Amino acid sequence: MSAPPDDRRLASALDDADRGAPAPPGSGPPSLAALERRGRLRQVRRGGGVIAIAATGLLWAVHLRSAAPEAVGPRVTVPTVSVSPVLALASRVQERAAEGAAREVRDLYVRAAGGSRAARGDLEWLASAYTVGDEAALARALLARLDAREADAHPRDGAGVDPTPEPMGRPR
Amino acid sequence: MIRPFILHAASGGSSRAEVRAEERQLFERRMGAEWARIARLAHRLSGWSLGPADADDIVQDVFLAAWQRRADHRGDASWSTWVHAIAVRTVGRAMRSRERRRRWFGRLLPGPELEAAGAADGPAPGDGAGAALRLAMGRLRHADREVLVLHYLEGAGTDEVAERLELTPEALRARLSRARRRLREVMGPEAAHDPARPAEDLP
Repeated sequence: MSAPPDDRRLASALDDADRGAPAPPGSGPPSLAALERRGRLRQVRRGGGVIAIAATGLLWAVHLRSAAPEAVGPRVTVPTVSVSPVLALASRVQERAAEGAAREVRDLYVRAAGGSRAARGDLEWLASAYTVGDEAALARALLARLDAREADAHPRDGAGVDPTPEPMGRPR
Repeated sequence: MIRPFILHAASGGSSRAEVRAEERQLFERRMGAEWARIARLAHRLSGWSLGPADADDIVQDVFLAAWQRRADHRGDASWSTWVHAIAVRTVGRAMRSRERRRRWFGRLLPGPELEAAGAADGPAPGDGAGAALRLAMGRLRHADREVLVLHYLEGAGTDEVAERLELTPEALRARLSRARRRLREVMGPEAAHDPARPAEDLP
């Protein structure tokens, strides 16, 4: 069964629009290890966020309870819990998430500096991924340091290098 | 039958570590082969409005989900089709979340014109009918754009799209009709060559 004429017209117009569209942005495929690492980072961050939200909710409930006990419901004994340890815990979880993520990035840097091409690839991918915020900034900084180290080890543009070409062999 | 990603150590006499390494390599090969196609699909489903950050985010989420759910892949669908289905769901979630954000914080976010134009970090959309149609697609709700992209751009038949979106064929046809009507409305009466307008409506 062929498509009705206006269906074909729409298909053709959408096809033209698609062909005229800019290419899909973004980077290419990362390694599976990098993909998994990103998944872990997001999970940890999300966990910290959930605790922070729960702690804020608890704080708000305790505040309501103390401000207007009748409005909140039947009178029950509210255990005397200070919310500050809960907030401190939430903050600590967030810090731990950030520390863990930073440690993973530094570990990549150390392996890349040791000559691991895979680690360098992962670091480059992380530096180009816009989604991981602080880790991406750290990865970019460490990548720049890595480049500077490599430039020191292999000077370019003739700096400090004898421009005389190597002899190609014994002349006949 | 050997399932695509669950390779049994007993079948080849390999160690568990070797099987796992082989499984990872196979996934990376398949991911490399499908990456560009899924990125293009996500770009189309978003109304060509994704910036590099969102595009990376979504495509990575698709493949992360595929890796985490690899045991669910049954041999009766090709891997490519299976990942395509994951991509449609993942992009759908991301776009609906963006629509919600726009509803709640609409005044603080860039409008669809700016997003579709990729004004933040992408190239300009250009002029002409194609650009107008892309802009109009970017203004549609995701549910409408999704059926138009899958049916007209991805070339899937109505039964296939209905199955992919878990709709009955009748519901899909109704949604397609509504999407075409909304596209017409978004393009406005000034669009003399409105491609979504049925031929009999044209002067």
